[in-house]
Amino acid sequence: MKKISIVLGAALMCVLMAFSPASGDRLLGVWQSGSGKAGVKIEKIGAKYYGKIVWLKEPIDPATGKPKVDKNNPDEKMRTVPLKGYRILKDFSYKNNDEWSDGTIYDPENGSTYKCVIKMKDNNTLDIRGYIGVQALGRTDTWKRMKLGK
Amino acid sequence: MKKILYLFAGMLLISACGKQTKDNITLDITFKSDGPFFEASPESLQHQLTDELTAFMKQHHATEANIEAVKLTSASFTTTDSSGFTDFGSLTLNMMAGGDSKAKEIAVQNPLSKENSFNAQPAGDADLSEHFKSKEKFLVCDLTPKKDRENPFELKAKLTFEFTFKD
Repeated sequence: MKKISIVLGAALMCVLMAFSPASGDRLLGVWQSGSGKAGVKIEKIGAKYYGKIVWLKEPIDPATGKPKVDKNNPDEKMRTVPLKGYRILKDFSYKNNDEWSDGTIYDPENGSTYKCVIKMKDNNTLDIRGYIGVQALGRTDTWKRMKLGK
Repeated sequence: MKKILYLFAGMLLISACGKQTKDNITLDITFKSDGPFFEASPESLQHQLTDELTAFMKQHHATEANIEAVKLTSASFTTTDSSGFTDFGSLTLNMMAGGDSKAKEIAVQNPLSKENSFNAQPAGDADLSEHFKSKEKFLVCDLTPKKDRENPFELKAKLTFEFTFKD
């Protein structure tokens, strides 16, 4: 009887863990960067998470009068790609403890790509830490889940 | 005697490097989205590669371990949609895969052709060998709508990849 209870308890734990809100998919949604300049939609492709710009506070480049493009990209062929739709978060894997890592973040303002780790502080707040080499040498930006009408 | 030794060492080096073979495969991929499309929201159309490479790999008696290098050499896109590509501003084709491989943009076109077909520029000289070695591999086509669109959209891609196999 005791054995059956243990097995049932373990099975229940597994089911609870599988459907727990702590799973990696809590990251999905649209998030606003700390500067408020961009909204980034995070989606899942295969087992990894990616984020692309879906909203810009200033979508038009005042210099050209046209939608902003990725003009600082080190790859010349990518410089005509519109910023809206650009995938700036790539290859994140969920590692438990509300943390997604092994990914990169691209900064369109200087065309640089950094290693990145995402930590969920609460359901509506993310700490996005971009770094070079080791995590200690980096900068953290706090993103908020975007609400309609913002 | 010295010359013979050098020649022998050279031959040994060449044989140690192993033989490489190159061949191209052209994949016909269909991307679909049921819509609606919103101007404010770029759309990602996905296709997971499953058994498209099976016959090609068999022909070369190769497994994933034999893949030395892969690059996209040409990419053309067509649609039978009555409005062509006019509802969309730009297209970026990405390759994503599991494991340690990193997502890569492999073809870009901006602006899109007003016609029903175009050849896109392969982006960079990206080596996709790690992607093709992975069990899970995806082609993701990012389309930027120019305006809201209610109807579904379908496009076909003809992608040629150059594979380098090692023995």
